[in-house]
Amino acid sequence: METKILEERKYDPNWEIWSEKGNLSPLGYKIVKGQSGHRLDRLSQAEYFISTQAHGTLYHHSCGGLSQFYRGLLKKELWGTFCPQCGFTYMPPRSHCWNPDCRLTKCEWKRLPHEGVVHTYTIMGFSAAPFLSMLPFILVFVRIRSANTTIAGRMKGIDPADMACDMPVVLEFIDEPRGNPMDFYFRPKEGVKTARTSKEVERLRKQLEPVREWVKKNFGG
Amino acid sequence: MRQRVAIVGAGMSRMDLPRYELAEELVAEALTELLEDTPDLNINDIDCHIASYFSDHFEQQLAMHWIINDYIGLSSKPVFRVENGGATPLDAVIVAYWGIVTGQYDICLVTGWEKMSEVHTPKVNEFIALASDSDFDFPVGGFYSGYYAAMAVRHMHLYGETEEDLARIAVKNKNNALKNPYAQWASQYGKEISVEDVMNSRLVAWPYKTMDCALISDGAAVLVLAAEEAALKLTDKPVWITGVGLGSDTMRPGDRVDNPVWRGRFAECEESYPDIWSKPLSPYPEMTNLASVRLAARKAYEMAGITDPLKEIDLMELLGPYTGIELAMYEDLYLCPHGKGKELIRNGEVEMGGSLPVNISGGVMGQGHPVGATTIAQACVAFWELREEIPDKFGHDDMQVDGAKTAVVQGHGGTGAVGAVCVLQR
Repeated sequence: METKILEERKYDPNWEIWSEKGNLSPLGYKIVKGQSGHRLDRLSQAEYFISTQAHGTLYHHSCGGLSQFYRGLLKKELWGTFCPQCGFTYMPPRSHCWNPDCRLTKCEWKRLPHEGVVHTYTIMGFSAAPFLSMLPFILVFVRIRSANTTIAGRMKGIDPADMACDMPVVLEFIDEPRGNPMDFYFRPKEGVKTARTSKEVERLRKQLEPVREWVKKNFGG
Repeated sequence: MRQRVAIVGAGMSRMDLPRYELAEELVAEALTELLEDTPDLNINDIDCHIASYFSDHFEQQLAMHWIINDYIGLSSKPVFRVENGGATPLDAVIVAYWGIVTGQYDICLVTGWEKMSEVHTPKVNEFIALASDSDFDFPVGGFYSGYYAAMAVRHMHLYGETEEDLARIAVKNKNNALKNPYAQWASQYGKEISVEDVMNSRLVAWPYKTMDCALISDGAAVLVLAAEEAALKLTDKPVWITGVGLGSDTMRPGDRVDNPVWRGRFAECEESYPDIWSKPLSPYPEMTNLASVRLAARKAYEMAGITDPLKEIDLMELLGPYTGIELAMYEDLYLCPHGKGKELIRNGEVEMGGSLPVNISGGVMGQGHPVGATTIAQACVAFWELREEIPDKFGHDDMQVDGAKTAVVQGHGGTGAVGAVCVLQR
């Protein structure tokens, strides 16, 4: 049967070309003199040829049985799944219940409340390549109210020094969702005050300074 | 009765970033050492080759083990790759063990390597993060340092260790590495560090600074395993594999809080959980500890007859990519009650000279972390310790545990999605 497109957000067709650019063709090289040798007490020098190549592609990822979750994001709604047999509620969603007693019972969809609790968090001073320009940011694992799992996300609207485990939060959406877990983020539900000592607050601020400087230097603003 | 299996030879490359040699040349460097130390072993005697590397992305080469296999002269022998995240290398050892214990093979070679220097550090982290859930955890900016940091934050919240406690673990591991001539930290940094140095190193993901974290490395390591009869022909100092255990947990650490498969399985850990309202339905492992490692340890200790690990084990090499997870794993490996990991580092029990030195090699934050080689390289150090060959290998006897009889090597992948433990005894 032919696949019909029901809705589409188009991407710049140039991405097809950009992403394939390079394709492992040799771009440049370096010849270097470097260290060789099996142990630090047996080092020698040798010369090496280093070749530089690029390789990329586009991925077209079907979200399968979880498509409802992503379509919900476009409407600024949070859809999770639950097992009709044991009642376990999944956020992130799963199509099948993992409880061994439920023998892969098919889960059902339900809307989940836009609030929860920070189970744990970290303040990121470094990241994988795609997120460097956003540093520093707060990564949280939030248990959405009524869920039996926690979901990873971003925390906004708080001084990193005020972060604490078990903090109540609300979930909010960005203005123009794109069907991606970055469409939503969390904010503190109520007024917060730091659980850290003043020495710890000062130390954390000092730890964050070089991160901010580095991002400014590399990405501007 | 089960066939007894021994490690009869070990070799490793020097770890560094970069090593300019090809991966196959690094494996050859390690294997040359093994062959020099095991003169009665011929390459033709090897019945099967189990190869370990973690990522195809680092070198844009799939089936790299086929390259390695013919490079070292094994092109007629059975070869396959084991891949299980950070547990890959120790799992490769275990698969080789199975090959022998079942009677299928007499002599198995295990090779492990990784070359991580070809892409820049944020890309290395991205490639490693692709071994986390790339639908939910990675797209919001997560990567391994972040996941492990969040797990440590929860552990600190519940059990009260400080950033300084974690820093002490980095100091132990990195300063140990300075005495190890194969260690990356020795050439990369080369001088002793203090808690203050760790505290002042650059923030990666609070509470972790760069010095709390594993290194990124190029390197290789190899072991030869043999059935008893073959082993005794090849060496008069076999190191027996007396216990092997494996376990698993969820891919996403965030899924663990109420996981039904853990409910009621760890009564000894649930009692120590503080009385707070956010106590999950599965208080262990929660997001703080590694149940996969606990199950692996339980099985391996049972097989080896170990009942009091802290007393009976003479040294341990564990895969602690971050200081906090090393601390949590003291608990998971039954070295102390749940929630008391901090006391082992505060009391110096896991230091060289303590009751159970952990990561004499420097581990992943000192010796190096070329993922596919890491725990094979740590097993090499454990092997030399049990044969009392450290003075020869390291050029001094500072790091030799005198009379060591029992060593444990531990590995895990993901944030504990899989765990492995091996008991080695002479």
